[in-house]
Amino acid sequence: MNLFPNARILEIDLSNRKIATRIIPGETYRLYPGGSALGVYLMLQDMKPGIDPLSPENMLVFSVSALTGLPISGISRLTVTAKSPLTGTIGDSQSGGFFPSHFKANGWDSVVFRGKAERPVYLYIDGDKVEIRDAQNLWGKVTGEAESIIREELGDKNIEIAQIGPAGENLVKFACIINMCNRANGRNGMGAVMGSKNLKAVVVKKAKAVKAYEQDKFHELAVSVKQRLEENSTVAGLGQYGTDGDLEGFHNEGFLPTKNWTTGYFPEGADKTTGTTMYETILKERDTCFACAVRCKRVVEVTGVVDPLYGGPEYETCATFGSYCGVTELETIALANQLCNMYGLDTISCGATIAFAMECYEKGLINDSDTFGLKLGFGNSNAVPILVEKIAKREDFGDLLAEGSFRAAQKIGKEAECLSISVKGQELPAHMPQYKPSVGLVYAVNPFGADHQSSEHDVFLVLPPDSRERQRLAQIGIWKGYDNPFELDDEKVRFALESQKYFSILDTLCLCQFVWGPSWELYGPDDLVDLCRYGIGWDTSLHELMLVGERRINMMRFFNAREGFDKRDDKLPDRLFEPFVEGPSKGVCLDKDMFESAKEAYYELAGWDKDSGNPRSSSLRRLSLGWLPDKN
Amino acid sequence: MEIKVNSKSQSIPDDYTVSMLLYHMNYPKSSAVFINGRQILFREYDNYKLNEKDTVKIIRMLGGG
Repeated sequence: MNLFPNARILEIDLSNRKIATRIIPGETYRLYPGGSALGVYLMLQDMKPGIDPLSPENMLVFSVSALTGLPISGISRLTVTAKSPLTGTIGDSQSGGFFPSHFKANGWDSVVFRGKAERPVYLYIDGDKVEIRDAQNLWGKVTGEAESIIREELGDKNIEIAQIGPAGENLVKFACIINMCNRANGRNGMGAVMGSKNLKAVVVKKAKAVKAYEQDKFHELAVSVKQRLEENSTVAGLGQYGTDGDLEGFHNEGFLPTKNWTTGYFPEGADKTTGTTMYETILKERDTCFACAVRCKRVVEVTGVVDPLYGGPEYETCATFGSYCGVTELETIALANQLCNMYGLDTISCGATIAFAMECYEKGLINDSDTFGLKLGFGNSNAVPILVEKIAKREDFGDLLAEGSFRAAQKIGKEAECLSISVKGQELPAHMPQYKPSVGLVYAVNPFGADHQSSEHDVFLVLPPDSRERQRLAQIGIWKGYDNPFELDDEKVRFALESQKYFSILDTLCLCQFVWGPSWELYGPDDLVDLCRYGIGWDTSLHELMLVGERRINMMRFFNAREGFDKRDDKLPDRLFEPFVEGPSKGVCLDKDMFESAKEAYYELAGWDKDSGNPRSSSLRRLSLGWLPDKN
Repeated sequence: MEIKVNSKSQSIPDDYTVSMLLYHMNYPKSSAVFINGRQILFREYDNYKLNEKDTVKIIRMLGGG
């Protein structure tokens, strides 16, 4: 038997330039073993409700997990947590790359930033040598340039850098944090929080991989990835064509969000912007994260236009800058993706906010005077890269859009508010609840706004009961199959909740959902238990892990309740309840009554109060969170 | 022989299996297949032979990203 490891937390007080170490004992760390579970735990300890997310009082927490750094696929993920300036809720965002594993290999589980530096700084970590360094020469620089300057200044290529671009410095509400110039902690505006603290970057010295507790068995689990890839055409396809491989498939079914979600049908552009086309045209190579065999990351190149340094667009990016905006040119999408990675912007919120502006323009809610002369109709591909830069720099019309579509709609007024396709102020990712109603339910109830990576998607319940996907879901108690994805009965709600708990484990342990998810991925729930056991000697069970996942969701929901959020904020845009008027999905919409009933069932199954939709004290106590009510 | 696939008529040779149909119609192997309302198990795909006038529903898995 091995005791759960302690967490080593790096405490950085930017206002006073103080650096300290804090140890969280293993018996506590086991309850919140990394990621945003650890982040929100630390925030609930010390942070008062009601603070301005862009004030020095906000905490910014970078976390990995007790497992991070082990040499196995899908394990190098970084979570950033803070109060979100975009939603006002808890903020939560993940990224991959090599930074997370090297951060952990330096001996740290988390770094907490408090206060605000007097001048721009960056943090340098080399084991226990930690320095707050001047970053005035980096301020205003795009990510690629800043990375070059830092490497030159340190005279060291063996470093990993997570940084903000000018968008974070300019407090764009959906600014992100970028590592490797192409991996993003994209959502919830964590880059703006970093910018508000005058913190340009976190730099870690590369270090040796963490050693496993049971080396032989761990090695066996790690190398089994080769056979798993051979046997799993879904993940193999993901590796070959990237996440964008399914874009045309969504269009074929009539569920590719197009022209600001007015249709699910994109005949003029789906085949031009899908992953197979990218593979055949602008793809230069496939990239990967630390120790990962999947290699799903895209690297694209368009000579003189798009630099491979900035990676390539994911499915969400191809949809938000493509179909959402009616843009059919893959090169424009790749350029918009590059600009987002240079300036540090979330591609989902950025593309969706531009699509919102395009619809406002087409409907006459804004005009050439508002846009400073920019013609913003759907399909105007020239306008997209121009607007991305204006948003990042908060120039003229970009200053309004830098607030995100929800706040921009409030300022535009008139009918604009119903054109912001967002939940809790965060723009919807490119998975339509009309096709995936349980994903829509999770969009609504998720503590940090609409997110497509917080639960499993409905379609896997349509597979035969002898499929690997259904067999694995059965391990977490999901037994019922469906002959179409459109239903949202009690068992589907339970699927949403249980798979949300599972994805919450992944965002706690900082694991990639494409490798460690609960159904179609490379490793299943039983393998996850083995990973914990062989990796760090954590003799756990699926039961304990599901509690870990549920605990994180409840802490986040409690955080939001302190900020005044309740079930009234768990609502989807009206547009989702209106039937499509064209394409293969013509006539299809999300049934309002079915959806509202499902929401009530969700609160009941989650053990949350039926009037407020927030956790009851009995539910908190069941999750060892009895200490939380004192933090009100 | 004639069958219906997702409400559209489709001509296929005799002795055509579910696996052959998926391949012919460019659907991934991981698609869900229902024939005359019954879901076919994955392990049946290679050997299950389609019959004249069968009504086939194929659903692609469109997931993450």
